[in-house]
Amino acid sequence: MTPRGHLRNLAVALTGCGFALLALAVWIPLDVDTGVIDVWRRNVRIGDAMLPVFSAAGMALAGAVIGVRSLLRDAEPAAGRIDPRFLAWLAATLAAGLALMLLTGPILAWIVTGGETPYRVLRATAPWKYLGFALGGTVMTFGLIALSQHRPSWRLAALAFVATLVIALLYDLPFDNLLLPPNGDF
Amino acid sequence: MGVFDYILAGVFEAFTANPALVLGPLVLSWPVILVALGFFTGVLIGATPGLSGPFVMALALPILISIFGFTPDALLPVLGFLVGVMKGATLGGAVPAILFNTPGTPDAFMTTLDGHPMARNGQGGKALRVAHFASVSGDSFSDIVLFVCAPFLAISIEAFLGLPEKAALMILSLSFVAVVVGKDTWKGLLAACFGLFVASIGTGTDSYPRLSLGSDVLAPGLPTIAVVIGVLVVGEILVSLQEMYLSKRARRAAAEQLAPGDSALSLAERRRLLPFIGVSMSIGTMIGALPGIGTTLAAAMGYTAGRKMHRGTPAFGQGAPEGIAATEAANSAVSGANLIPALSLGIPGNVAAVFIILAADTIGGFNPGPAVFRFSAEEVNPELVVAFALFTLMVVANLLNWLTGAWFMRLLGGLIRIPKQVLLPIVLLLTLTSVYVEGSAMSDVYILLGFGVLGYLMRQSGVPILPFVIAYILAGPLETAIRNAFEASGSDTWFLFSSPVSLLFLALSAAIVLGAGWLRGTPTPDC
Repeated sequence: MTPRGHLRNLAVALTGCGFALLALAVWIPLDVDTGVIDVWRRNVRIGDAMLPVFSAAGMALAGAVIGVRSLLRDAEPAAGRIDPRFLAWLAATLAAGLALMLLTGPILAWIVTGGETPYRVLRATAPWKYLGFALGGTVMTFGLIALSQHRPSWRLAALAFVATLVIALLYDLPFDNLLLPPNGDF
Repeated sequence: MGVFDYILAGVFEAFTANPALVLGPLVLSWPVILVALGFFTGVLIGATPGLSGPFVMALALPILISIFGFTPDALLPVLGFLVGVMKGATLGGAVPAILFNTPGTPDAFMTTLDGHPMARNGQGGKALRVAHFASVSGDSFSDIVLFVCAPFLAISIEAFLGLPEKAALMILSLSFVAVVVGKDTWKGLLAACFGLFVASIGTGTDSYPRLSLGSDVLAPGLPTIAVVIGVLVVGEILVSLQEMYLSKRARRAAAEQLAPGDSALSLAERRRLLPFIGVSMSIGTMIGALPGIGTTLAAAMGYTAGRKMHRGTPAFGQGAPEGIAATEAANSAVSGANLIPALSLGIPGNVAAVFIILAADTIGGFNPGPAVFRFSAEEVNPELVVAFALFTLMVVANLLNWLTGAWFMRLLGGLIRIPKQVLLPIVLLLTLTSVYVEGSAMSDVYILLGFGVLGYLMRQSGVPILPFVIAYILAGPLETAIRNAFEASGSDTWFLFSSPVSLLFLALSAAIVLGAGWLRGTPTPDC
């Protein structure tokens, strides 16, 4: 058995079983008001717990079989590679892009208007409605292109900016009722 | 209304009910425009390595719903676009497979085996023509089977199956999908059960939304489009980005682009291809009618059958047009047949069917399932009219395919050179924006990205995605069917085992899961 495939299957089994047991022992009892079978005004009916209980039980069974099998079998290749460094870069790029998307508009509005006009009033007017999306989208797109190309350059940054702008205009110009991210949240 | 009246009403609905342009007696309807748009977009996307039909469907669905709204008039344009994309993407996948030796879609891999050698011999244009002829023949045949079988199957189910049997049939379908998708039965089952669990969050019949953790975001249930697109599309983008990130030092040489060259395909040559196309499209249609199996297996089986039939030179794998025909007829025949379980049972068999059911669910007014094909004579069944209008739109897409597909494929040969490294991050931003504009809440974007990471982890761990998605979509109807069957049985605890048919379905489910789990040897990696 390749160690990676062995460990990966054990991780899948433990995650599946662990999640299912947690759901069965804690989440479902505390967060579902009716049981698997519910009696309401002397009517016996299926309660809200039925679907999550049966699906969690199925997960526990499948997880247990995967775990036992991975311990007993000899050879099993891993399906794919989970690269923590890639995931860290990805998380950082997405977090930076989303944070800029969320904060750019309100912060700039506060600076320019001195806090007199809330961003909610400005969110559907140009150029305010584009600021967060343009900056956050450009950073996110550029970051991901640079991550996969390993060659950050001004040309790629310009390309990311143009692509983001085109997407913004694509959604904003033809449709009056659509709000670009994150303007609907204000 | 009789059967003929319903068919006629469907045709009128498709062509005239939602006009975009009226020039005297000529009416150009939105559904027809959207079918054409979907078809050409599908061919373009299918021909772009790294992208596929589900990408466009995922991007387009929230936008189209935002444009057309949640009215009955929105249904046909949206479904028409999705059907157009479904057909176009399968066709488009052959272009880079033949000209660049890079399959545009996974099922076009077999097309490279004979297509690219033909292109290298200066017969790229002819290879494209063969691919088009086989693809459109397989697609048209599959659609005809759909038009005949879906109503027949639905009527039989409605006539012979009661509530417990329908619930048992859904369990059987779900077990089948969990087992056949991917290489590991138990991982498929794990994915399906997880899909059911996730679907139960924030739903139920009690006044308190179950498993919502007291959160306002979870209380109305998870946004279906964000969950499905996250797992299916964002997960795939993340896997591709990682592949490119890891292959920085092993940069591949740019694929060689060949000119289309000779493109004539005579009548005699077409006639020689027909036996191969006939066998492959039958295989593709049979496989397509079974939920979850998909186009890649159909293409492989069609190619294998063709190789056994083939005599003479060039041999399969060395530039035989019959090899292209066998592959393309098989993978294209899957698309129409895949809608048989989707429309007659409400059970999506592949990703395209998932999006069609998702669109129908989101817009409302059309609930794919046996009730759609209820030919009521006294009062009009509007869902049946929509079903026949959808069939009409599929015929329109096929006509477009017959008339313009070959020309459009040749045209694309010189256009598709966008690097994946640039394309995928832009598609991710488009997806994110597309999901946001539908709900106008950043929580939808976080859910999209969260399920994207889940999709990435599942793929990299060999846990198949499709059982999760299909179980997630089927959870609501399955729970309703079980609740109704239980109440109709007078709260009999053994209601699912009360009839021989439901007992048979459940026994088959158990046999499929246990049998496949036992029969399969060492599981092999699968994404």
